[in-house]
Amino acid sequence: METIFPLYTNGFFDSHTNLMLAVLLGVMFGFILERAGFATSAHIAPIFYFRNVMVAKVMVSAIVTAATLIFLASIFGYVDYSQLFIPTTYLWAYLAGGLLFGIGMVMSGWCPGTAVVGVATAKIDALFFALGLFVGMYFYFDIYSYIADFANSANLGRFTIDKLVGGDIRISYLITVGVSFGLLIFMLIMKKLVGDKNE
Amino acid sequence: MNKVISIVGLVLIAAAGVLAAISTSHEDILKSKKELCAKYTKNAQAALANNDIEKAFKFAKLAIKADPENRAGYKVLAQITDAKCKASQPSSAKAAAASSTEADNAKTENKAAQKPEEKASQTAAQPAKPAKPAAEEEEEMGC
Repeated sequence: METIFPLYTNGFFDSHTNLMLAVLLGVMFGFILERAGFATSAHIAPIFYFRNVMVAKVMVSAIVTAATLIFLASIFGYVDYSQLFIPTTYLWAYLAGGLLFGIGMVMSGWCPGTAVVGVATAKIDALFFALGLFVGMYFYFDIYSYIADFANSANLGRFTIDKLVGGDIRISYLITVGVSFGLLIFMLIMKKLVGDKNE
Repeated sequence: MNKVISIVGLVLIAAAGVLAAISTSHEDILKSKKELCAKYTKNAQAALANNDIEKAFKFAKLAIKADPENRAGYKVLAQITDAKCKASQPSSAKAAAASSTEADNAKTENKAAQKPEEKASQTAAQPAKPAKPAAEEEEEMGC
């Protein structure tokens, strides 16, 4: 059988194996996050004040590396780009949710993924964040019937950057790398202009 | 030192990707789509050889989706449909044989004489049919 990624959607292993692999990858991901310093809220929150750009550096490194690997594998015919899971885009709900997410992240110094790492490394503030996360999820499901129309509005489907540029994945890759490095340079400049002055 | 290695590493990775993006042409992208379609077609044929019709169907659809201009996916889909028809034929043939009488046998003999002519006209007509409609009608195809 010819190897085509993603392996699970192309029938190389069953759903049980897929779940076991997900657990293993989750453990590896948590380990890498902890080693990268994301298990401490004091390393995450300062990015919003341009004092510490560690988060931007790690994120940009991860995005550029992953995008390059997927792009190269795609042009060599190993990855079926159309089979990669990308959630549906609900524009207004994502904007509102992103804003709420950002406010929560600045206040607490955690995001859901890093909070799990924090809980695993016995951080008490991460535990309170995780509890708040579950209360928020319960609250959302409780009021969902009232906001369902808004939550499902502006359904753009599986929206990717290459759709904006006529389906050319080369251009979408170059845009991704350009925006990532641009963001990093912006953060480094802001750190020098604003962050260092506030310390 | 570690910082330098990290920065150099990231720049090298990005450079490799950017170089690949600049040096590939639209034809290369189309070629990769054809290769993907060929892989899916091969997997569909392998699944068909193992009598896994469901898996073969899935790979055939992915082959068509990967490269809609490529007829290989449609050919495999036609093979899968034929295999599906053949799999369901034995039960209907047995039922027909059990209910026939001698008069029916005479009639069927006449029909059998006519069948080769019909088959010849059908096979003559088949090559003229475009491959695409076969894929579009996959939901309605039955035996």
